Amino acid sequence: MLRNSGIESVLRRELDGLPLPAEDRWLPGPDRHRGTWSTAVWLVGGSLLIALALVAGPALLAWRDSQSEGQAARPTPLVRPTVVNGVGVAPLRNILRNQTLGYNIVLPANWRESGRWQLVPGDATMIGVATYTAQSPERELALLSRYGTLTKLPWDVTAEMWSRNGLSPLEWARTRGGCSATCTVGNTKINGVNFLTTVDSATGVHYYYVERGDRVLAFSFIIGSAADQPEGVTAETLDQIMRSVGLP
Amino acid sequence: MANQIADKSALHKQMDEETARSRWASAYKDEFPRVYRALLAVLRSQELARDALHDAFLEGVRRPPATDENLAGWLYRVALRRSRRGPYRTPLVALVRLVLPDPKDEIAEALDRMEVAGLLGMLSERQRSMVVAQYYLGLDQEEIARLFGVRRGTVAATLAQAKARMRTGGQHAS
Repeated sequence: MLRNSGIESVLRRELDGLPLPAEDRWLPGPDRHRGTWSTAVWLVGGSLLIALALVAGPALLAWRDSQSEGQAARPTPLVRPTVVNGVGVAPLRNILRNQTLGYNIVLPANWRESGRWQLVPGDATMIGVATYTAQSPERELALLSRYGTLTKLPWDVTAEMWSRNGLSPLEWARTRGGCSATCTVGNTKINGVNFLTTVDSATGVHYYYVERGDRVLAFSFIIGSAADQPEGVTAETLDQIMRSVGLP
Repeated sequence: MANQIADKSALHKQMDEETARSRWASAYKDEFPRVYRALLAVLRSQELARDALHDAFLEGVRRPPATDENLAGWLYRVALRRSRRGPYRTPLVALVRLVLPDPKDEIAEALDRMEVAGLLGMLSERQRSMVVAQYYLGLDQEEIARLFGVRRGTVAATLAQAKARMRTGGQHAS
């Protein structure tokens, strides 16, 4: 008879002996690395679907035409696939988890987290800041020299968390966030979470606010001039980064 | 000027740390071996276990857990939920599986040779999930109840039935 402790020790011993897949397969790849059997399943399933589509072809086309009217263009993906020696490849994206501020964010391959804000003497109501940039360290220093070390740089994405002091995100945006007469307020949903958005047409600053208990989490970026624009970074890139934000 | 020097030093430090930036990926990878093996014991398929865990990882990117406390339990729960309603459970795939049987992988064969895995095979998937959560992942009944969204009493009853069945099975086996 197996006692509870017997079950536990044998279970641990036996399961710990099971081989693991190669470490490079622990994380899902672009194709999700599905295996041969499941590939076969999807091939067979796909064939059935194609046959179904052929049978219902005219109706399907009419439905597609009706659906395509007024449909917005798809956004450009964060990472553009390229071709090396005839093989399609895509650079790895950075999936960052900020445990302090409580969010995940996906950055294109050439982006990094900057350390510069960690040096700023803390405001009593500020919980933390993280800045993400596609600028090289040298160019970032040059821009900081030009704009000032305490300034947000154009084409970066910044995440800040502040104590709300009882203010709603909108009140916070109006009073502390600098959302004034030239500022347009809206709402958007990112991965199921509602954000308050503000866009200042005078400064080009875009803010995304979300309430987190007695704190407010604010993401921001500035659409700057072409002279400061890092290679491959567009307004769409910044928007795509924002759309990747995940909150618990 | 002093600020700029400090900035530069921080930036270089930042560059050094750049390879270790994927914190979620890192936390996930720390827990991968334990959760993957737990899923193998329940799902008895390498592909199902890996795909379910991949789904849990992506779910964590979109909606990360509030804390890293009991991350293994969170991954286990999300992966199991995904495996239940994942693509393998759709009617189309179920139909294809009838035509194209699931090949027995080496892990399933290894599990068949194991003493405890044989006993686990006598249990329903729900019982297996809870037994593995308790005895392999080390979760208590309260945590298991939270993970599965049931009352603690339900967990206690399910585990008691599972243990009784394994004991009986163990006696018959020996």
